[in-house]
Amino acid sequence: MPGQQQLEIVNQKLKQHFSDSEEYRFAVQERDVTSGWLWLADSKDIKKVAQTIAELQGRVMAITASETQAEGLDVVEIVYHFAVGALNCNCIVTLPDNARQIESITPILKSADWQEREMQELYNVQIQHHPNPKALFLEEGFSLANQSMVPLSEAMDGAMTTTLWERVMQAKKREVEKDE
Amino acid sequence: MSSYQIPMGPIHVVLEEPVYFQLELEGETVVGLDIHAGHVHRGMEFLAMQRNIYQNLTLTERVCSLCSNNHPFTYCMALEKIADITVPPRARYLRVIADEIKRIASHLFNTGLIAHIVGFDTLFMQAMEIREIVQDTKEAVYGNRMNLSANCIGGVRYDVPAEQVVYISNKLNEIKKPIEKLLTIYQTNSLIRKRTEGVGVLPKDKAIEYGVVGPVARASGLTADVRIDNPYACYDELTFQVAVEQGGDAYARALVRLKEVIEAIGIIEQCLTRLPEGPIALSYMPEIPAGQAIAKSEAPRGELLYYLKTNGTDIPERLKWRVPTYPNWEALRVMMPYNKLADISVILGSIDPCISCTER
Repeated sequence: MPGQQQLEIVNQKLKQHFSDSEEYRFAVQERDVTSGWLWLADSKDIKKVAQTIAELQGRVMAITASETQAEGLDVVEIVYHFAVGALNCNCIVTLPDNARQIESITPILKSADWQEREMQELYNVQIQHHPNPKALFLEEGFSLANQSMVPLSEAMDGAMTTTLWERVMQAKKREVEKDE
Repeated sequence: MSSYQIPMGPIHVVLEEPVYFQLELEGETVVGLDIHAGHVHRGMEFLAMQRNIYQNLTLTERVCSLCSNNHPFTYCMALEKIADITVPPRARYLRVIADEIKRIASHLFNTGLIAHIVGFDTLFMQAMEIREIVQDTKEAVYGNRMNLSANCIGGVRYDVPAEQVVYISNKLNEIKKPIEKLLTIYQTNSLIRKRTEGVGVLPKDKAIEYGVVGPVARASGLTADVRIDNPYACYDELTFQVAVEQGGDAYARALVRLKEVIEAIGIIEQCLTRLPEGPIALSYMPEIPAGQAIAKSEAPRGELLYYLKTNGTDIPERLKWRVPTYPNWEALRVMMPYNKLADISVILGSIDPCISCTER
């Protein structure tokens, strides 16, 4: 099975990074894709996992945030999808709904950059210490967390449109001044 | 020398879809860039969580036109993992045939586009003419030129009778020589080589660091290919070479794509020869239990990842996909600096970007 060797190595490395086995749980799902599933008790430990992946020249494939419930409470579940060679390693952390904050792993794994920025603006999860935290898809300063229904043109990145209209308005101003 | 900024996009002649680059130049040389995306963000993942699992087959097929088959294919694989469904052998082969036909058409489109960008329009026409044969094949077999609707949960929605096996084989034979000629032109024509060689170089270490995928990774010397690393459908039963180049430039990326077209023809031929008998889909409508899974496939642009979480109802709790272009954008920050302004469109074309895919 491809990825089996990497699975053993990742498992060994994780044991080095985590002193107590209570802090994480590791399971394997083998069907078509070799996938390891890792549950972290403390969301801060995501940096340890990122460090493990970086040491093995791995990468972030994707990061999925979702709003769900755990033990009757509203939570945000974040699944980090890492890849090390042929191994896919999914790491799950849970944040309380009212404390949507997590450390950025982009300084450790460059491939997390866009994924973290997307999660920040679409799921209102604050990414701490991200090297380039500006909006990815939505207009700068716009937060989906405050509104549920938004006109598309308002939500889109209007960088170019702003530049264009600034020029149009300036030209118009010049025309008015000339007329006066 | 003082630097200045010029905007490129979001509406630009070499861009098929809107994206906006803020380029920083010194003279004619690019020294920095900033990427502004979001012009075609439609909230498709949100939409997917409002529809049931069957409706999502139709929705995911419409994420992207050139990789359209990979989306429902990978989505089905994730569902099949959660529900522990075994896909019939004939369906596994038919899934690969559909996927590889799409790969040929997609790669020919990009290699044609590169010729167009460098001003070699007759070669563009030549590539598109070959692609037209593939488009006709898709139309004849699937009834459509872009969205094939080939996949369903647990199998496929089309069969290839003996008569169509001969038809597809003939069509593949028809494109073999023209594709080899196209590859020779790419390898020998001085205009193509001058405009693409050494342009937009992504060294191997940076390719690893930025986590790039698909032909962009393979042109920088990485052997990453989901079909080999995590075989799915019937890829583990087939013989094919992974096209790898070491140059890391726009030229290497074009060569990888053309060589992959040749490999794809071989893959389809193997599938047609070995096509097992039997059913093409499940005879019942499966129930999807609560669970979560990821599924991956090698789309024309590279690794496509689907994550699906179900809760026992027929509406997915979360459906997320990461398209191959997504991790490749940031690598433009390595590829573009120190190139001439005129080469920016070549570099952009060489990563074969899909913006609607990226933004969903």
